[in-house]
Amino acid sequence: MLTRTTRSTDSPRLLTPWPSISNPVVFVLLLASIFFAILALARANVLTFPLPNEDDASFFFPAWNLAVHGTLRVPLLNAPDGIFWVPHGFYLWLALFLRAFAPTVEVARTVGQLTTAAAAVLLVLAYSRICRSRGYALLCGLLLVSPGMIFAANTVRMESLMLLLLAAGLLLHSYERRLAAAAVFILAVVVHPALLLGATLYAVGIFWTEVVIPMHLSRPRVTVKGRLLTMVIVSAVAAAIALEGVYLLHHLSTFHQHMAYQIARKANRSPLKTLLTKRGLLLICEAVFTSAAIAYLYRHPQAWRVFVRELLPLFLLALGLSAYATLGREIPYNVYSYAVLPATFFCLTDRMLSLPFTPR
Amino acid sequence: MAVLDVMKPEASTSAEPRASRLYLRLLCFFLLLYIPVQWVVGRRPGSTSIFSSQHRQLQQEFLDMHVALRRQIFSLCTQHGVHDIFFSAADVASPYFVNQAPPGCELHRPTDVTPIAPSRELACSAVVVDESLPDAWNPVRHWEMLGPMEKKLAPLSEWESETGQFGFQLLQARACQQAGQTAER
Repeated sequence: MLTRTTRSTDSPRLLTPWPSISNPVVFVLLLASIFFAILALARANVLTFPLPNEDDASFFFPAWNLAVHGTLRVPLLNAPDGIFWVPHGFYLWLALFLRAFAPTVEVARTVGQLTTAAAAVLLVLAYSRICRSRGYALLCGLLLVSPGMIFAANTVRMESLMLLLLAAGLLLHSYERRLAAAAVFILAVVVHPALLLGATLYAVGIFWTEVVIPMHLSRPRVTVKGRLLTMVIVSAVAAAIALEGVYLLHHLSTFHQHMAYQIARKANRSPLKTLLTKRGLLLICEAVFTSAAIAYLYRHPQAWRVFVRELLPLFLLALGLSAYATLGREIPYNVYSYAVLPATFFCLTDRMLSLPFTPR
Repeated sequence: MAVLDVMKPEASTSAEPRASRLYLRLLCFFLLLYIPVQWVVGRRPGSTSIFSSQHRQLQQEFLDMHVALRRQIFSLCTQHGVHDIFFSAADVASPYFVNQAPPGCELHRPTDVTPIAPSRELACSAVVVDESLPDAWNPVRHWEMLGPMEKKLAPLSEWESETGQFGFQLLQARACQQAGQTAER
């Protein structure tokens, strides 16, 4: 079948024997292949990448208890008042599936695999809207079919759900639903604190957009349905955070006790030494690149406005997540440092290169 | 997705030419270059690597350990008056048989943040499980850390996989074992 493909408006039309990526069916098929590639690789390496580890029990049992006994108290883990060293969002999420299917660790692992694969698809969809090229978004998607993603898929931990929330937030941002996107990033904090810094920086970024760009240029004209969606998302996130807050207040002494342990454990790590690791060097490169981009684009007003509105909040989000993943120094954070963040930076850079550069 | 569609604001509707082909090609080159780098850097984060040649063997030995542990615990709970099974904070096996725990026996699995008082593990109705397996995060194999408890416990039984990579010991307070032997005489 001959298909006409165009890369840019001024390039000549080419007749190729291959179906074009601009064809939605082809794009969907390629997205499905990313989904199944991650799923197949994860299934092929189950129980060995990573090996069964203590996190399986630590994060499975609270969800198991919630699914089987309907309580967040975990006597099995000698935590009769509950677990407070991480938030409870992941347990609730996992318990839904354990309750619906079976309360087994195999179901928990399958949920992780499917969630990670779905997150990768949503990420590529978001990339295709952000960099406005399906082909390039799929190239970025290749970075997601990686050891870091397989590792995240095969662990009974919250990274898979975090990726799904990150992807949903990016997709909302790509549709210019910035408030809803910020709400989803903040919701991630109820799952794991990894996005705490990133979500804060993103909120600063979208606030700055309101300040820097005249209102009529920065605010998209939103449909009523779009506004309703934002309201629903923001209300749901506010309710989730309020519930978590009330639960913590009811168990304040246990929360203090558990967090003291976590803080002591993380405080043992030298930040300077951490910056000299592979992840640290990646973080430094990302920070230098973002700073250079800001300095350069500031001198090009037209490009600067688009950059501040579309890309800067995402650069800040990515830097915040990268800083957490680097300083947190946990092997499961490889998925952020080596897979998702590089893919996101490549996507943002592609979009940045397309900005209309006219000197001030 | 129709719900999400918005009309683009003015700033982004202006002509936005694609970047020069050179920059785009350079970017694609770096992206493609990063793919093998990512696989080399990330393929071995702990003690095993992705597509490990030992994959099937490790998987089988872990499953064998799980089956052997379940059998021995079932026997202790149903025939030897054991009521409490204590795992360590580094245990990996308990999630695999929590749904098949023998009747009359309760599983206890502490974490680093919620340790269990040693006195409970030294009761005569209690058995402590000490697992041995390759560490998921570091390239070493280790027995779990029993710490000061080690001297107060004696093995009841033990099991090791074919290659010795996985194994476990079931331990009980020495005082209880000695009392049991005296009663038998």
